[in-house]
Amino acid sequence: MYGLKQAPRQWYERLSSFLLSHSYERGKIDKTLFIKKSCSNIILVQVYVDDIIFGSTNENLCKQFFTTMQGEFEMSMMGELNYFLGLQIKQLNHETFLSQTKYCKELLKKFNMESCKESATPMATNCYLDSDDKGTSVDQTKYRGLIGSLLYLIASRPDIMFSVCLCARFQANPKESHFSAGKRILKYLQRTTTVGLWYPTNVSLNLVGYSDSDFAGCKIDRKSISGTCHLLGSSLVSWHSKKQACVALSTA
Amino acid sequence: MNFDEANPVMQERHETYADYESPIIQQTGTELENKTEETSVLPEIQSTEAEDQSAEQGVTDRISSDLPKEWRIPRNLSLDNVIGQVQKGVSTRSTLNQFCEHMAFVSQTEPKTVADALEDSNWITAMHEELNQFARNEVWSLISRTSKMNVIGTKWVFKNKLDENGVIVRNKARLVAKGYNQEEGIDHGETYAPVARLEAVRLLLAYASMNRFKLYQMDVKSAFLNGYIDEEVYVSQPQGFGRSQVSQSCLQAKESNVWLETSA
Repeated sequence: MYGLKQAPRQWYERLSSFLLSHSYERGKIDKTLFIKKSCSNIILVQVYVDDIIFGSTNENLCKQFFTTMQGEFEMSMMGELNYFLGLQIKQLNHETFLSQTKYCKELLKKFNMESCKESATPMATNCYLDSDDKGTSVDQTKYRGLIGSLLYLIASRPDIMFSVCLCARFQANPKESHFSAGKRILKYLQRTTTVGLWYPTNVSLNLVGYSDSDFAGCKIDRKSISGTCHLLGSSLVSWHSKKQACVALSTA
Repeated sequence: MNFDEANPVMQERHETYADYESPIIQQTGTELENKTEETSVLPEIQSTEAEDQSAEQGVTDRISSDLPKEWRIPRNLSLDNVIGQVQKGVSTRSTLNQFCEHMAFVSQTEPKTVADALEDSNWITAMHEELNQFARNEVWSLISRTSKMNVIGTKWVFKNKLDENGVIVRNKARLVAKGYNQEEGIDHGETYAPVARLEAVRLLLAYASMNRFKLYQMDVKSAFLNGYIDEEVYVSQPQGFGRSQVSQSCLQAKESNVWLETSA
């Protein structure tokens, strides 16, 4: 029943035991991924609470999965994956696109920036943000709303990650200068609303990771900021940017 | 859609939504007897008939001056004859078609309390739908209340579902338990549930794209009603749908452990 504290857990329990009883295997790391192999075919089932994404090398396995699920639970119709958690997904024969155009437009509308000027970069290279104690304060709720909305946009936009994370450090006491830096990101989004990720087909399946860091990039506490990204073949799947935990004495 | 069937509902709600309903009904060509007399003039129709009435009297052009040319009301029309908002301008049948279709079967308001919801037939239907889900999943059984029970309250949540154009397409009523009254060890044990990370979703997408297979999605309706809980939980009866007589037969154990207490 909705609202009970144990409800999500018990639902996961029910669904996973159902899938396991139908000879699906639970992922070792990702406990919400269920895999079934039969001969040379494989079916992958990813569960997000009550949303289920699935795909198989053999179309028949998909249909079979759908009918078994329908026999146990009341399901909505099976449809091609095109909108999931705010991500717009376009699956074509030779490639897949991932974008958050709709979300981005709504975000601009929410902050009354639909008709703002465009900017080519999310942040100036000489941008210097500090706590700015003398500056005038801005509405904390609005600033946090902006940061929160931008953080969700990072799901398909690694390009704004650094600048959003930089702005996010001043949420406790936001000033005019921080808010204008946030607005600058929105101006960049105005120009790049439709930008997203591109996943091509026919590439080798090898995982490549890159990492880099600056030296004493944070002007306030002289800590370095490092970033990583991981590519599966040539598709970007994971990225992060984070201020290091301690003061580094060298870049090595 | 058959408008003859829908007519009673439309008329019934006519007072509240007169602003946008009346022009629609006119345009879609339905015959609403009670309205035909006074509503014979609409902005669209007027423009075609403007020539015939050009030399009329009793005119107002208070609004017409600041509107675009094509929206202006001909000078020879009294404003009393105009139904709906003049500022809305011309709307075509095709755009209103969708809007009109749902209008008759879906409530346009979101009630704040159960009492409000119970006054609207559409919301009552929505609440019945939700309660049927409970019955179908055999979520609970009715027992009488004792002093030992820690009874958790329930609450109705009313939400209108919109489509891409922002038109209300569905009234959704959901019955939820006030989980904040639950105590650990008595009403619930472990509560952690794993949820997929976005990285995992992206990895799956990349993998699918690489191996050239399509991904599909579906969702489970009222997912949380499907779970079996291990603890015994007592909830109060849904507001507005309570039964007062005690039925002892419901005490026998079912798959679920949610018990309803009777209000009597």
